[in-house]
Amino acid sequence: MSFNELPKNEYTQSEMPRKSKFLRNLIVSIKTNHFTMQLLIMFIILIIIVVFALSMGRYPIDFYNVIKILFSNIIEITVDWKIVEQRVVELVRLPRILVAGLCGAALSLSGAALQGMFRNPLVGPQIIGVSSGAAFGGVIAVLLMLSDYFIPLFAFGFGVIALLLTMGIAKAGGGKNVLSLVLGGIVTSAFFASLVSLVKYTADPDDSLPTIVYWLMGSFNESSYIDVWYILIPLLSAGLLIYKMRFLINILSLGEEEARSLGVNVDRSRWTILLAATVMIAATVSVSGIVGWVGLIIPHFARMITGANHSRLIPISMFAGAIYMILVDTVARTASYGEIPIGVLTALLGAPIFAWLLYRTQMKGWSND
Amino acid sequence: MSKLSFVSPLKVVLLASCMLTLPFVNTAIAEPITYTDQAGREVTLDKTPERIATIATPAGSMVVSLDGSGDRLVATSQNSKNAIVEGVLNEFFPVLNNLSSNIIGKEGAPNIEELLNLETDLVIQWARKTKSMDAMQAAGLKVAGMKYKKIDIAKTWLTDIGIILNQSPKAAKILAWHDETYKRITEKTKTITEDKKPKVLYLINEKRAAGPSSHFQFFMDTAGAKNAIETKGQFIDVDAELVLKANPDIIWLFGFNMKMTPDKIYENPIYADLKAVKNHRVYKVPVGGDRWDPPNQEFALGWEWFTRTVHPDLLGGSMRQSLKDAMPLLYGKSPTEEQIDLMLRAKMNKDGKDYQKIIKKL
Amino acid sequence: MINVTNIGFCYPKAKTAIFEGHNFAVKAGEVLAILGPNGSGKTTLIKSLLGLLPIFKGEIKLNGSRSYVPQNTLSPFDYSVSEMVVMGASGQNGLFAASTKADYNRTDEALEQVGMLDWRNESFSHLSGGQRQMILIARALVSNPDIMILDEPTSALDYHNQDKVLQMMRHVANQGKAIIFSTHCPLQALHISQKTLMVKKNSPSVFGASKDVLSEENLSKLYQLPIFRGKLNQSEIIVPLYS
Repeated sequence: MSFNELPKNEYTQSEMPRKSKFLRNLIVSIKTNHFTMQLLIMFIILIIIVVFALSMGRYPIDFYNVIKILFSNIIEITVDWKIVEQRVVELVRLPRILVAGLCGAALSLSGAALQGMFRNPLVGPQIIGVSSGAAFGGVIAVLLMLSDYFIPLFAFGFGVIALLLTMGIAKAGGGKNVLSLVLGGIVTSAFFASLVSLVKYTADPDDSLPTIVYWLMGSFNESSYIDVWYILIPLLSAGLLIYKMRFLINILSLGEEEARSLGVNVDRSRWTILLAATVMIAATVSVSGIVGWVGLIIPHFARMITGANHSRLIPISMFAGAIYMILVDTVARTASYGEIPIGVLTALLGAPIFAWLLYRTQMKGWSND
Repeated sequence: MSKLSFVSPLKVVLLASCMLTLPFVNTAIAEPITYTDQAGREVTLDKTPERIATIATPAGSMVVSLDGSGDRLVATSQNSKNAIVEGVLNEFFPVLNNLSSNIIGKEGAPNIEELLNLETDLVIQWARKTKSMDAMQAAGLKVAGMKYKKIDIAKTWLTDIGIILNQSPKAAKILAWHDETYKRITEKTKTITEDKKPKVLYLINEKRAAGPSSHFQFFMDTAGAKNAIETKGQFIDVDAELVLKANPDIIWLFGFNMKMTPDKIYENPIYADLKAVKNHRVYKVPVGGDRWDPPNQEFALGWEWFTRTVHPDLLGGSMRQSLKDAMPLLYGKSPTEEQIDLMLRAKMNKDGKDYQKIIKKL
Repeated sequence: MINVTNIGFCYPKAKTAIFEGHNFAVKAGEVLAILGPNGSGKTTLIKSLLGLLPIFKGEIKLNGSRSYVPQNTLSPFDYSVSEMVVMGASGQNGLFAASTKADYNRTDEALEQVGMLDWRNESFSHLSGGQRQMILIARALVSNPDIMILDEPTSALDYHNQDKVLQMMRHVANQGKAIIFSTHCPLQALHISQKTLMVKKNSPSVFGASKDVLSEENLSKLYQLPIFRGKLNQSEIIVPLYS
């Protein structure tokens, strides 16, 4: 018995996965040539979602009035709407939508970077302990009865402290590898989470406790243009830093040894990414409390759209995160008379999606560490 | 500036001439009120607000009291609404049954667009919630801040809401009644020597009691009693062992917490040997137009009730009579005997020692 | 190109060295095979040569740039072939390394060399083991190194693919690069490498020309198994005589 002669080409098409040629060509063309197209489409969707969100709300405003109010900032339009409508659109809804969108973008961007760096698509911003630390800071500010504007300051301060703690534990664990960093993050998270519980326990149940609980569940309620700056500045600085490191993140995702053998200074790059992600995560927590699951799930969907390459994944993640967050927040502020905490909604949606991802994704990545 | 384009020159002239002639035509029209609120912000009200939402808690029933009606209150926190429905305020003013509480909810996070939808013309918010106040002001809502300051709330809040509703004389009258009652009570209680002061436990819930630095201490000082809890702090965590050790003569049960009743304390075998249980001196704090635990317009009634449960024979008259007399001053209404029983929790406290004497009809 | 004198490696706090007293040298255009049983410190030696692990004694003199071909890559993410290869170009450029057009041109050249240009847009994880090894070699070629170090490049491959990888290694060596690879197959060492280093735990290493080092005696000692070396139709063969 003998084998038939193989065709001349050393590696034949038969070794390729069994996809139809058309489908493969389509995927290839989308993955390689159409990135600008993808960006454009995401941008258009984002604009549509923003306008849609601007016209939704408990205060009824005619859709055409919303459009007219928007354009009245650019061109002269005879004012035939109520002043209160203009205020609602420009001073209640627009800053809130902007803050929600920017937070979604910042969380997804840090999520994508952390997933790349940790080489695990099931990692989220909460894993490095920064969210819990920032939450504790904010809760302390509420407990001390400080003015609301101290919350971001405290949240950010404790977010950084949490990162330092994570780094310290990782170092003390002797580890340079990702696993000791994750363990450090888990320890830090647990520590600050218990501190938060302690504060909740000592808080006045008729005064500060409800505020703390509500703030922890996350909300974009009462957002103003000041909040837009609070989140825009970190996003522009730390976000740009991460975007500049997008090719490096690709290499880091190959694992420490391979990255080092490719000439990358692994430690320095890791801490730079961690610090930049901390800045953004702490900023979002300080503005809106803990909004979980977004930074975990959105990069995964972005990966489905544009592939794993972080130079494309990061921008697409930002757009997808902004769109997702604006949509969810629109539900949060319109679905009932009161405000539904957005953290509750993102978790409600996030948990089943996460379960589905677990089902789909083999636990690759850490098995060889 | 398209925003201003609707103000035509003609309108400006008309408006200006109106303003010029106004003082000569009718001096009785209310002038705009300007006052500095407890967050330190200027609040200007062109006219008395007609649709008020209160997020800061005892403010809701204060508005009803000073206005003498429920018409101006459109939304409150869940806590305030509970007190209004539990007590008699919704019976005095049935319109309050329609009061919205879900816009503000439990957490003091209102849906701003819903407040606009309700055409709210004044929101009363906690003074330290600066961000929330800024956001509401940006949306065109008028906001007044109220500061949480323990027992001073009664005075400062009533005074401010008096200004807001153009009811300062009535606010002053209520506060004078507070002072007068305080004097009348403390004249008697201040002569009581330390050893004659019973120990009181103020239970917030099954696991918490009022400590010496809470405003509840003021009730005990006024009533001629000692706090069974000596640990410093606002709210002190207690368990059964601590309660047994403190062995109070009297237990007051926090009015907000409806799951906690004297009967439950009496029936609990752990507490069977407590002095307060053996002597049946466990009392549920009443709810009038509002609750008597926090400082508000009914503060004086609370002092009197607390004093009477501690020293039943010290004061003349009766709790029932004092309540009957105070209601017209506070709300312009005279309660029925059934309403008085409801407010004084006559049924819940029926087994309490001397309670029938405390609430007797004169 | 590489001169190694008396190096040793030992993990911190460990009592015994992983390896000790290795001496060897590789010139440009030469191939060095590292042969040794499991646990003899082959992988540790390779990591030391790459500078991933610090040696505790001896000296490594390098005259040129190195690049590394791992056995397999561990990324959980599905990169395309060209994305994978271009990483070999941008790694050294610091924190803000970017893949430029020139990098992609070099990527295409490297893919052309290993005969995989047609697969540039395919997904890396969908390739076969042999194809992946070729891509990893291309990635090492992109940075145009003087020395290429491969960790058991043929261990997971069938005969056909083993042959292809060996051919590629020889092709690279013919361009004047030095090549170091580890293997479990003495025949491969005999087939393509001029020099062989035999390492065994707790005994001195043997280094020299492959045809001398790969004697029946040395091999039998190394693997503690009788091993036959002889000729079959003019080709040299090495066969283990399994018990």
